Amino acid sequence: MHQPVREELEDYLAGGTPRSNRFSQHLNTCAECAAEVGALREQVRLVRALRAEEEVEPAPGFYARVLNRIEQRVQPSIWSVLRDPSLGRRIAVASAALAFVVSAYIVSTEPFRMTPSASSTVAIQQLSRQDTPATVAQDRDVVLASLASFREN
Amino acid sequence: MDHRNSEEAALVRRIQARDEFAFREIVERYQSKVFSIIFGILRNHNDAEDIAQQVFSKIYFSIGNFDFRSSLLTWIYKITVNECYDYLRKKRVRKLVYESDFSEEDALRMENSDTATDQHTPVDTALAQRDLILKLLEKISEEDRTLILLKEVEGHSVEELSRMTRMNENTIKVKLFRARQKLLKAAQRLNRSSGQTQV
Repeated sequence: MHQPVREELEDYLAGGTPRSNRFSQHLNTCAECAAEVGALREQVRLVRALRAEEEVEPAPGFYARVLNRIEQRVQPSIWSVLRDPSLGRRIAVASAALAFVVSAYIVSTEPFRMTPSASSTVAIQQLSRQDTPATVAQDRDVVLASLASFREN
Repeated sequence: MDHRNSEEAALVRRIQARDEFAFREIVERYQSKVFSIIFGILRNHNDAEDIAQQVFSKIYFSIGNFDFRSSLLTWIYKITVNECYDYLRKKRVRKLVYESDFSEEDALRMENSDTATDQHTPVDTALAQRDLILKLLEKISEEDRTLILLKEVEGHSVEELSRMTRMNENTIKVKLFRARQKLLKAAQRLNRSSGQTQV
């Protein structure tokens, strides 16, 4: 597009009158520019058709629906909660503490092993006093254990 | 115009500080404009409602990035148009008659009428041209598209665009010219490939 047309093109497309005669004189003599200006006028017509004929209002309650949409985006999922660095640290510390407590509980309630020691007599006697269904075999075992601990002492 | 010191800038700063009353004010101030922009492009109330909600949600989460280089309206306009184009890309709209607001009864009546058998009825041609210009506008950059739409759809003058975008008038004219040329070239490429009406 040649300069005389380009200079005043926007004024022309806006529906205004070109400031100088150069614009219209050039279009009268330059087929290339005349064709291009014609195409641009058609382009402008099509783009302007995208304008709504009148202002359109949303249905009542639009703001509440916008807030709802925002809240949906803000609501965290379980994974986003875990990704939070400060919260992740707290969860890690809490998990370690819980693991320690559980381990301590398991160790403290672990049953006694039958190793030769001074306390074995007491342990055996405790076992023998447990309210377990008395069978002949169990009674024999209790007696033998008592004898064994007696010898050690 | 200095966009940093205006009443609107004060409102933006309040929203950036998460003042809900300020955000509500922005929504109420611009909801009609946003809705009209979307409806002008898509011609469907349900879609316009959905996209308008999305636009204001995006404004809420992105307002921290607003740097006052342009007017708030320009920024909102750009978001709105981009959301429309995101929607169009996702839906891959080719025939806008399926997106129109016609009732089923009206649509059936149109299909069965005498005019429906004529491939060059005014309604079909208008919809095809709308589809075409939307497609062509998708081929140019966001900035060019926003500028063209602000100029031709919203009817802003070069002087107004200069104030809104903080670019001088000559720059606006050059950008508009180049955007128009790109649209023409995109139309020519489309014409070569499909033989449609030249724009």
